[in-house]
Amino acid sequence: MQLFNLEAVSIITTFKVNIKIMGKHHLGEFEEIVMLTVAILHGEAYGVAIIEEMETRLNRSVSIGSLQTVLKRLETKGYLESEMGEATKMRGGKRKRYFKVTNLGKEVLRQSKDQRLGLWDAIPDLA
Amino acid sequence: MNSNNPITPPQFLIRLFRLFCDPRMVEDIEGDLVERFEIRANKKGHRKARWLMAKDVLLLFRPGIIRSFKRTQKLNQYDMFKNYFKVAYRNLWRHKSHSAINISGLAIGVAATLLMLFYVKHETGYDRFHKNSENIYRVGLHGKMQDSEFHQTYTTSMLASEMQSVFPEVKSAVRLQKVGNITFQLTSDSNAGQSYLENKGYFVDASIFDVFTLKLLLGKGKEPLSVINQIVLTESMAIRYFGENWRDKDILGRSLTTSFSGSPTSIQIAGVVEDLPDQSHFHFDFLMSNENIPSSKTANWWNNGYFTYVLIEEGTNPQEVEAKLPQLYEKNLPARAFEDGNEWWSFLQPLTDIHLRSNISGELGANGNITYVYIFLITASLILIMACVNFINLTVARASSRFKEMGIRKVIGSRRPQLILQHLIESQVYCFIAIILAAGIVLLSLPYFESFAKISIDPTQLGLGTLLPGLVVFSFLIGTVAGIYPALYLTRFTPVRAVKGAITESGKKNLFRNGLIAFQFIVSIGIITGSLIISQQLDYIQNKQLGFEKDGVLVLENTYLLNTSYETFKTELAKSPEVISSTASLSVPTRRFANVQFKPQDREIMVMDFLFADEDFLSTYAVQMKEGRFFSTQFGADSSSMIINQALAENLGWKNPIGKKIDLFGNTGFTHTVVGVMENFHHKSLHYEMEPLAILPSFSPQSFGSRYISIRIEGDGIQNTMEHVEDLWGQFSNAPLSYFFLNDEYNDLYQGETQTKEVFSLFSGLTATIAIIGLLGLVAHSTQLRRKEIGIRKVLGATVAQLIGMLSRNFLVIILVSFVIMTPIVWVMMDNWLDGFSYRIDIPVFTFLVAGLSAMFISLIVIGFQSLKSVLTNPATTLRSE
Repeated sequence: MQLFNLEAVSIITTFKVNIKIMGKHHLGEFEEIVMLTVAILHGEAYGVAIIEEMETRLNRSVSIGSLQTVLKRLETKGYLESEMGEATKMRGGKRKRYFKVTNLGKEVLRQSKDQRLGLWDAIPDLA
Repeated sequence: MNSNNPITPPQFLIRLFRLFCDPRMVEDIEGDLVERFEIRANKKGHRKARWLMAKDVLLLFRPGIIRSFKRTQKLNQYDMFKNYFKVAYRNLWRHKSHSAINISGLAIGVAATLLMLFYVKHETGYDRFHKNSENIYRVGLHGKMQDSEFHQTYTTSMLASEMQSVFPEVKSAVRLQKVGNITFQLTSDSNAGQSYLENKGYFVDASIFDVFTLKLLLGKGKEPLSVINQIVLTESMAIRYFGENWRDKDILGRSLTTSFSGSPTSIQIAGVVEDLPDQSHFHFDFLMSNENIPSSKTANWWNNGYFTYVLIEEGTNPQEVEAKLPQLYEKNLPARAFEDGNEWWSFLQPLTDIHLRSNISGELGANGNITYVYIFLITASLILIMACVNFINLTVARASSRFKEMGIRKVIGSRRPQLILQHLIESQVYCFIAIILAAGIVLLSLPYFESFAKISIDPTQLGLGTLLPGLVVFSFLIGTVAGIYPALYLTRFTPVRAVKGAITESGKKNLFRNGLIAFQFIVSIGIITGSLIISQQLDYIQNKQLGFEKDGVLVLENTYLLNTSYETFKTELAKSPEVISSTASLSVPTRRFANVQFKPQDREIMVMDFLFADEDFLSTYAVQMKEGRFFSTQFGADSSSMIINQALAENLGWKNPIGKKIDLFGNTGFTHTVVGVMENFHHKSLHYEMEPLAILPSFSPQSFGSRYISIRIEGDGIQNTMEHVEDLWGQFSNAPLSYFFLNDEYNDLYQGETQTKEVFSLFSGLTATIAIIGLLGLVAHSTQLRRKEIGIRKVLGATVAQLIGMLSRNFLVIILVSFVIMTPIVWVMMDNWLDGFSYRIDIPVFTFLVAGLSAMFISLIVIGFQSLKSVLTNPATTLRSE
């Protein structure tokens, strides 16, 4: 009896967000780190993998809750997309959700990086 | 936990997580949780991993992850609803006979309940049309003198004014006094000279307009009621006197002549008020001022002939007023009134309680009875419950034919609540149709019911605005109550069992259903037995030897109007061949007897009923003498003799009563000698014991004259005699003749019981119908289920009789069991009811057998006919289909 269609929902929201974001995007710090980590993992980015990567690289502990919230938010903004993997005997037989940075996401990351660099460049003397 | 097993994450944490997590995210996050737990458990140990997982789960409890409290998405269930209605409709048409049985049972039950509710609403709505009905009270009088005690509506003329002046809480008070029979003659009109006998009038105080809400149509209200020789009519009386167009006739100021206190008086019409509605405990045709009665102004605390009503201040506790009432009597009555444990005090009755809860001496009209309202309510709810039970029974019985549907629906994805909803909607549809049918039945039977319950129901007053929504709510309630069990029952099974048809009906599992049928039979056999016993008791009292012959006696009222011509009247009457004998008396059986103080020789003063009668009383009423003689004209100076009844002789302990002396009014000036003892006769209803009674000769000096002439008529000469009597009356009096037949009046004494009997016989019919309808449906179903069994049995050689016996055995056992349960309950209840009579029948065992056997017999016929069809079917037909 469940009649909802996830894909349709996300397409519609992506479309709306796109229109809004084009002019002015803003990424939070944690969002940016998550997106970068997803990009690093390149096709292998799922919940625990992302956390492990962040914990080893940045030495910072992340809870599943905070990560998933951000992932969901980024997905609804259209910066990330996800698909379910195959079920294995690991993880209690549960499938993994793999995240990928979308083109829009890449664009936003690049913008963010440019802005930072612009700021760095504008510093007259980094003593 | 066993260390050999791989380390598993704590299940309760996972379950907790699943509980709150958004279903769309649950799978991958759960996987993450498990994976992370495993990593941590390897690295940091099991314990630590558990704690960290608990922390993770807690941190997951945040917006964005937890499921929304609304359903995750709003389903549009419209199509599903439409489908439920469609399926309900299809089912209804597919099983036409079943649906008809089901719906008609419900409709009958609902219609009966609606009618009963109308009745109860009518009965409980009395006297509420007065604006201040909540604050109006009737004041009654309780007194005790020697051995006699009375509790009555009649109070002294002084009470009203005294209460108003002494108690600040009493805003207003009014006295009413019955006018009695009075003749009015029109003086100036097209039908001038015509006279009318009126007996529904009151002398009242002008304050009646302050206490009660009377609607004045013409003239003034208060002023005419404070002066003499003015009259205020009701609309209906105005119509009788002046026709429908009385408004055009300028009737104000016209006069009516009457012989008032002995001399002809002219009375002026001073106003017209609207008739009191039906739901009033008293009614009147006209009002006149108390000023017309001089005695109403004298300060006499002994004459008790007034009805007193008071209006008290809003918010006053009536008990406070009541508590102060005895003081009034102590202050105004002489001390001797309270000697020897004698009592005088008053009590308050709320106006709105009078109709249903007051049945004391001197009521202004025939009141209802709260017991009968309860009886109506209880029987109505029983009928409604039976109708619901029927519905449940029939629906559950047919459940097996729908298990497959339920199974398929479950497989396709219906959840149980949805299926329950589907069945509830179905029963709502049935109920709604039943309610519409019931409304039709009510509309058609309303006139019959009105005459039956002796009430008038004004449909406009019921208010369609409340009635229609009421019906919808009612329908909804019944649909839910009747549908909930079948809904739960039908949807209980797992889809696999339901689809496979693995759910068979076994005899043992039908305990619930059999219990329901038993309940129906207990109620219907019980009500049938009850109504049989009631009618037997009524037959008994109506045919009981009363000590006098009540049939064939015509009684003329108000015969004092004949005055001195009474003797001539009587002689003329005797000339008619059909008249056997006639007698004049102060009262007649069924009417109130006067009572007076007596001082029997060598005994204490006592109060008892007495009667003035002439020498023909004995032969007219066919009363037997036990000892001595009755009055006789042969004994010239019989005016100081006296007849007593046997009860009085026994009461006084007199072995040889003849020749004993009794002083009337406890006064030696009026001594009478007992000349005879007569057999007891019942002058009251059989609710009462035989009471002591004395008869004094109507030609004694103290005689107040005769109010009644009783005429015994030969067998079938009633028509002739009536004409003759009316003729004769016309020669002696110009007042209209008023008369009644004694046996009619006698039967009226048992009006309440007769009404109960009628209600019960109606109900026994209804409940029996519903029970049989239910039985019919069940038998039809069970034979349907056992079609194949019947076929096989037939093939193997079973006879038709054996098969029918097999099919009915189960039902007969149920009837037998319900009979056994019903008997003691009904026995106790009826025994209780019969105790209300001084003369009652013993409960006949026979009646129970009759009711039980006839229920059994009718059921057998129903079962027989219903199963005959399938028993007679060729086994080949039933066995072929698979």
